[in-house]
Amino acid sequence: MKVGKWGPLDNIILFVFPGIMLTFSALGFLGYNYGVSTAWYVGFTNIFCAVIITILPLLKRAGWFTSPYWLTILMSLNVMMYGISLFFGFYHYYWWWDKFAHILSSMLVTMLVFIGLGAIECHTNRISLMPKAAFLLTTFLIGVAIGNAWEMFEGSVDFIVSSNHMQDIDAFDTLMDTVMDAVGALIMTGVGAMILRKRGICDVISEMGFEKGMVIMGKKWDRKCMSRDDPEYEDICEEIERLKN
Amino acid sequence: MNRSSIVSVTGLILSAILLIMNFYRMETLTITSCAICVILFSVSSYRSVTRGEHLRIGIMVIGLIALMIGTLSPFLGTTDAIAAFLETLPYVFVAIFIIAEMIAFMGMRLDKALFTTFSLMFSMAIASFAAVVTYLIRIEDIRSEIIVNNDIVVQFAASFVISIVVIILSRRMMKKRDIRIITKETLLEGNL
Repeated sequence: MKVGKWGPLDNIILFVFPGIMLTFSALGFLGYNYGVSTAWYVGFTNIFCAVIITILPLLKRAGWFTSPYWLTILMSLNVMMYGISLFFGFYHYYWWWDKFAHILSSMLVTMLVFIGLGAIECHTNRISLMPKAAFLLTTFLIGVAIGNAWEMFEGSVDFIVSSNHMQDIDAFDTLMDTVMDAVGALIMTGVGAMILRKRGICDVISEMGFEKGMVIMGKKWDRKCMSRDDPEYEDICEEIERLKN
Repeated sequence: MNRSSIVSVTGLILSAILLIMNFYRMETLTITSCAICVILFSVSSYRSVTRGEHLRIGIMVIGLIALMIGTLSPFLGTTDAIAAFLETLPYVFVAIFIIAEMIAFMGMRLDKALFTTFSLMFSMAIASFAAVVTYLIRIEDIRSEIIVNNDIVVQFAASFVISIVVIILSRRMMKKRDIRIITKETLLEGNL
């Protein structure tokens, strides 16, 4: 099943963006990076960024999920910003860069969580994430949790490549990052709350341009909540097949 | 008073006592779990006493036991990885408690996958809040490098590992009981 057409812009997103990251990775491994991060740390982080930004285009290529261009590009640029600024040593030269990057990334991630939870809420009948207070609290907590996952990732990369980049220095780095992640998640949850004051979550989601994939996902999710003996089971299977075609 | 009300009120009193004890010792990691539990037990006590909505006792008792182990472990003098595991043990149970209250009192409906994903995520978020509380309360210790980055990341990792184990066990339990969807009726006493 193909969801969305594959165009030239998709090729740029799939090949050029990761290509840029791999170039910075190679330069990093060769020791051309600035700042205090080790060559290995910069090299591996840029490879990781290159892998991350291929996920959304590959999902589209495989026909599993089509996200709108604005979202894919925004995501890619955010991930690229991290790798490239690490290469140029922004984290070392500008004290505010790390905080700014964390708030921005956390806001973007929380926005994705908001969209994802909204899609689940709108396209499933058996699952409910409402009322609004519960929905927003869940969005906020998941946004903060992803920031936590990022800190664990940073710590594990540091441990694996033995760069001692962050392990034994005072805890301000990790703790400030965590605080900034929470601030970013809180700002975006606030924005989400303002959006939901005037409009329903389903109106917001339906304008995002990936409606068809989400409808199928919702039906599949509903099917998972049923046993095979459920009288509605066969109907929902037929509906999924019809939507796929 | 119903049994569930008694457990809720007892939980509220115990978690408040543990919170005060931890404030006295400045155990920042466990202060967070205790503070969240005070709020959660207050909500469950209020709903139970005034509205007759009694949350299942099992959820509260398990949460309370985990909280007691976690918050009392610093007083036993445990160190390093053991301390990290024990002190972060309550996070996942507190996370499950939060989700249980959202389902029981706010009307959310979750399937197994979402329930376990949210448990993991909420537990990680609580670990982050504990770090933020550490930042606010123990800033002098950080300045003098008693607390280093590695200490915080180890706490995060310990809570993550515990959450994964608990979630695998809870998924197995739900599969055994053929629970596909978790609703208000599943979590309130006197139903199902």
